[in-house]
Amino acid sequence: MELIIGQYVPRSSVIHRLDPRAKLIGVFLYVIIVFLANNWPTYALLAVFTASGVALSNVPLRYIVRGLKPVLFLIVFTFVLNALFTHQGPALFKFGWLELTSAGFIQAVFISIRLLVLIVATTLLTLTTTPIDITDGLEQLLSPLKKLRFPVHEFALMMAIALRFIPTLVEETEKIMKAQTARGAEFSSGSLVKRAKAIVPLLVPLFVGAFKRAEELAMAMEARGYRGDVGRTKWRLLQWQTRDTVLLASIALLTAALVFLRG
Amino acid sequence: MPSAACGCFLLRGRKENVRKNRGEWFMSQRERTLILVEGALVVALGALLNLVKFSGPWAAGGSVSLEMVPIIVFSLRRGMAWGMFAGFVYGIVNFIMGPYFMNIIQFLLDYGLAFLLVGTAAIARIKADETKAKTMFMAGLGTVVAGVMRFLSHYVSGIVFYASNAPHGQPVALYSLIYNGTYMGPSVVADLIVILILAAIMPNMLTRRS
Repeated sequence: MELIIGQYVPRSSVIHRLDPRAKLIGVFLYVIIVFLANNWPTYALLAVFTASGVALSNVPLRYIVRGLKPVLFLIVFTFVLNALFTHQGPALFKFGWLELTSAGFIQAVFISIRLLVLIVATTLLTLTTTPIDITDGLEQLLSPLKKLRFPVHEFALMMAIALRFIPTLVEETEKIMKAQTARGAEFSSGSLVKRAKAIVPLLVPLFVGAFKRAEELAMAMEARGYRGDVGRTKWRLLQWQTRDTVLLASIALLTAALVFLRG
Repeated sequence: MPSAACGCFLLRGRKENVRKNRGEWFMSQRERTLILVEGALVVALGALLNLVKFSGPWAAGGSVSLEMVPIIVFSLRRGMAWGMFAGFVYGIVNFIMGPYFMNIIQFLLDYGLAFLLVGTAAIARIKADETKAKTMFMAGLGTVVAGVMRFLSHYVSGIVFYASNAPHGQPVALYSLIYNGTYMGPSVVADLIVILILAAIMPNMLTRRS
């Protein structure tokens, strides 16, 4: 069982070095302005902008493609839907009740570009930012919500601890699996019902272990004086740099260009 | 005189309240830390189980995994508010581990609300020393409710997706039903089997702590 946790690909690039807050705000704005595009120049601009982001990130293309795999089906399906069921203008070709019009084809291409751009942009965020940086960024960006009594600190802490323990639990799972396999357990054959049943001997020690670990960890935190959000300091501080401002400025510029060019 | 006595009474009442609150605060902070950490580990377990995918004919439309089981167990133990909170955190962790972004509404429904709603499993409250049959029934009920609520969120999200990406006049609700039903159905069945077995062999794990 080979498991890849998270998507982060460590590389040295300007995109990697961006402040996670800037990246989060940037991606958030980007996925909104993508919907401004409605003609060839605007979609081309989006494609170029996204591609330059990928190029700047130094992340090998195969990681991007891997992130696209699960949604390929959806993209193809929406492409076919749009191509065949947009009945406007003269048909390019007809086959029985199926007809492909040029308007339908163009519509299909536009929507595919939009979906691709959206997914590549969000994937790029997780490919170039460690989960813990995303958590830190989210905690700071969401901190105004504390006024509305949303437990921002608890949210970030829970996320950070969860992300920290995923690899540990994976290791533990592998150990338990080996132990159970040695006793003759089988995990990867049979029907859904059979396999769901087979996973229980794996789940029980995992749950028991997790709850025990939670107790120990809570006690350790208490012993070190953890008392919630109040008065807590951070070891690593995020620092906003010029490049972060440049990112947001380029998004603003892109927005202006899209508004100007859209039909 | 009566007014002074009244004031005195009020003051004493307030003082007692302050003391009581402070006592509760210490207690609750201790308990809060434990529940918080427990929730975090449960989220990690969910993420781990999400990596173990069941392959099948539904592979094209989503994935069948036992990712909901830990959140359901946690919700049964700690109640709805905590369950929903952990579910929400799980949703965001799930997004970080494999983002899948179509539009803001889809993101909020598929990652925020869908897993938050898994916390509704807590409508089933299993008391300590409950009979085995009732424990299993309640745990199963919680699982089904959680599964249905999560499905509804994905279902609405699918309708939004097709409504904004498919031409007008398409049966968008049907597409969403097929797309989300084909993996949510088997997921709920698998979760139910596992939760029922857990309820039978270690009912204490599922009882409500308060």
